[in-house]
Amino acid sequence: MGMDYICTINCKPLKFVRFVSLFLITVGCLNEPDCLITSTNLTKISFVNGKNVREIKFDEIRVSGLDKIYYEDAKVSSVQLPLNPEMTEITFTFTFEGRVETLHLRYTTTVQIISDKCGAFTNYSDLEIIESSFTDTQVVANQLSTNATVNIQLSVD
Amino acid sequence: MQQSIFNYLLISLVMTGLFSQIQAQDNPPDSTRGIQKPTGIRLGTDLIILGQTFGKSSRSGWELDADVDLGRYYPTFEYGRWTRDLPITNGNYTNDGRYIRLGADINFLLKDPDKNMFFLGFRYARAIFDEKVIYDYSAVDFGNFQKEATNNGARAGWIELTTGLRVKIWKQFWMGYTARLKFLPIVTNNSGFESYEIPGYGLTYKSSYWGFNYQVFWRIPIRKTD
Repeated sequence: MGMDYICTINCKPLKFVRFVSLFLITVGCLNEPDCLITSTNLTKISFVNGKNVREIKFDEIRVSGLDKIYYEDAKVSSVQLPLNPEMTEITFTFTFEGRVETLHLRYTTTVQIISDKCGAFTNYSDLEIIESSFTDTQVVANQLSTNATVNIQLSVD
Repeated sequence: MQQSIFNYLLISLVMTGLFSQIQAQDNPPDSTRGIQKPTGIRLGTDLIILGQTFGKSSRSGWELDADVDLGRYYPTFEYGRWTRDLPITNGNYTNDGRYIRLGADINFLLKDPDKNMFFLGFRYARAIFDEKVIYDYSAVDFGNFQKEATNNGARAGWIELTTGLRVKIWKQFWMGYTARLKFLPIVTNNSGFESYEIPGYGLTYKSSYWGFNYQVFWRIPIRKTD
């Protein structure tokens, strides 16, 4: 309505102006950030045998750089293990069913600021398997996120 | 929402101006419309950024503006410095950089004897800056850390549509404002730290931005008007 009264000769340019303006308004409304931070240093690893979920009773799982023992005498089909924010590589050692298997990972950390109120946080991405004693491995999602269901899938006979 | 209304008004003004230019090509030639020899150079500065510098804003800096009249067309050059010291929830962010804008304004007040201006224009802008963040964070089982990340020598570019006024106040003293819609920011930064703010533009995550300068100028005549 606002421009109709000056549209006396040729309205096509003004219609175009209106279209472009509305498009930019829409875009402008979509670029506000929110404080939903999904960053985490926990990598999610699942175990399969063929296409089936593989449940394993672990004696223990160890993470390089930490003395803590994870999943001691625990029977699970997936685990969550932490990455070291000060390093770019890490090794997990899995002891189960009389076997010792290792998984050596590399990753990238990136600093991001969402806003002054949300603050700064560290993103973990570009996750890749450098070395593994497991027969078959797959990186399902190479960015760590609280939303990701699985980052790495390992085949265990 | 205010930004959206501003975007709408500015885009409408610029686009209407451009279309009126196209339509004007059908009209008989007018000596005020063509490119002419320059009669003066206007040098100025932005009062808003100076106000922020002397106030308690987290942003400070200065800006030098210059334009020259080629008839109704005014090639413009703007150079500025922008620093930021911003406390964030878990640390502190700093930014120090310089920017340059090149472009032209088109004057729509063609027959004003004082060469007062209502203009529409465009700019291409570049910035180079250093930024740093120091922040506290915790990682599961690895504990709490304080981390420092820097982005030295980061570069950025963007485009602006502008509109505004320039009014002669007294002798060679001029005042005016420039409203600018900034968009298409492209940043080249170091891996490991995603740029947060571009000097002269604003926050990197905003795909469009609007800015406002309230400016004072001193005009240096170099030739008498024909």
